[in-house]
Amino acid sequence: MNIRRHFPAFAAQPGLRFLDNAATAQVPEIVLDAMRRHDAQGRGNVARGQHRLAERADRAYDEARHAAARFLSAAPAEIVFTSGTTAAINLLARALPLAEGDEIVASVSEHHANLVPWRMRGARLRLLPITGEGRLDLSRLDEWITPRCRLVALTHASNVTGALTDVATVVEAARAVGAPVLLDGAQAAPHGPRDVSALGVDFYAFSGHKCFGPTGIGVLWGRAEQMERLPPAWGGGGMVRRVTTDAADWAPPPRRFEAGTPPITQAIGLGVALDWMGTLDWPAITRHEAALTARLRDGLGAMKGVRLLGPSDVPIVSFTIRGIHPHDLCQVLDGLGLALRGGHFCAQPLLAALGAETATRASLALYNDQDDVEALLAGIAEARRVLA
Amino acid sequence: MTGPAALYDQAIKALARAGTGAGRLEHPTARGFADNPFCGDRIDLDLEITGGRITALAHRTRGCLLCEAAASAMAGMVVGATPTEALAAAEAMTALLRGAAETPAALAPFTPVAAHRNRHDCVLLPFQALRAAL
Repeated sequence: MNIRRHFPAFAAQPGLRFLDNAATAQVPEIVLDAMRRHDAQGRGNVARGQHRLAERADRAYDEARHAAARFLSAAPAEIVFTSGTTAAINLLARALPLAEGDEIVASVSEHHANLVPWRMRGARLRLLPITGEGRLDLSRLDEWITPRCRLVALTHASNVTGALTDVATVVEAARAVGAPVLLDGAQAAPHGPRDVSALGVDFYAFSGHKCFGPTGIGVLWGRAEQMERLPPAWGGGGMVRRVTTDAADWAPPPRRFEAGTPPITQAIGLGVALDWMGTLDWPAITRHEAALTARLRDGLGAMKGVRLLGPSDVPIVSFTIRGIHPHDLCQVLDGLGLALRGGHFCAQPLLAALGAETATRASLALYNDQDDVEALLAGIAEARRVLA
Repeated sequence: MTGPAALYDQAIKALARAGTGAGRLEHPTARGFADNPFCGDRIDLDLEITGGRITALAHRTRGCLLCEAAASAMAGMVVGATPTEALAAAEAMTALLRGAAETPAALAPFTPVAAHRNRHDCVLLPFQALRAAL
């Protein structure tokens, strides 16, 4: 599976072993070509003009929306383009009507993007704990998801532990009290198309740049009947039907939630990336990623002073090494061509729950291979020597 | 020397291991705190200022090796100094990271850090706590 040849970053930087895919992924030439072509030959604004470039842009933007819908097995009208997962969750946090006493159930496993917006909104936030294994503790879900629950907002896959949420159990509990469910899919979407109907959730958010697309674009999917009930989060052009000096009528979803000129070029790039992902053999890729993850976990687990954080259901392996700060480790690894991340990964409550101040994270994608993993394991041994 | 070998040479590691000033003062005259929200590094700093000079310093530093080394270097530089001289030491670290030609000898081991923008905050953190205390 020589998938790496699709990504110019690897040819441009020989020796690069990119293991920070949970932060952002590399971009295939097909996506770069599509964006370049649009900006060079097809640039017009959308939903605003009658000339041929405007029509071309409209078609391309609509096609991108259809591509995102295919990726999620959803309807195009349920796809809202945002600037990323954070913006998608912020949109919902701003738009969701909340009454006195309403609760949002999230978890300590969340990325700050799925905690801070709710705090800013002033919502009563209840956080599910984690188990000793680093998974969401769903053992007493009925005590957490009560009739006061206005929304269950959970990570689909943790950006630290790689733990996949048991979505079916969460959906069942939420349905019992009539609460909708939002999944933060930022770390799940890069590992294959998702079927939001099969998941049974009501909202799904993910980022383009982690799915081999450009930065500045993401998706909020919302079940049609949910989106219809939401007011806009931001106001401006494109999201209204009629404006007078006294009043404004909102456009229907998804345009209702896309005020102003959208990130057209980026959406086109994302559409191409998602359709490209749709052509791949995901069962084979999943087996490949799982094998690499297992080897990495085994190798790390055999090292003295290493503690693995979480189960790595998706190929995210976070760990600590006694006596070595992640920043120092990642700095030395960078000198060896290995790109990893050290810190708290915008998940400070989760790190605290895991009993760690900071950690190092290796996050794999479809273009990583056995050599990358072996180089990382060897690199850690070298780093220990340098830092001793 | 370039790359990690330069960044983590013996001088830097020795500073970090020395942990000059690590601890706490029972009755500090001034306190300072600084943290880096991006990585979780933090430093609590106690100063005793008597007769217009910093007569004692203690710090609790939780951070990377570079941060610990910087805290150790800072402690060695500012005990005995006036607050003005101590702030000059803080400025000297900032200037070093900007590529200043002349650097106090105590900060010379940090010269390779200048090339790594993402590590500047690591070595500036102790001096931010110092500024906060003064």
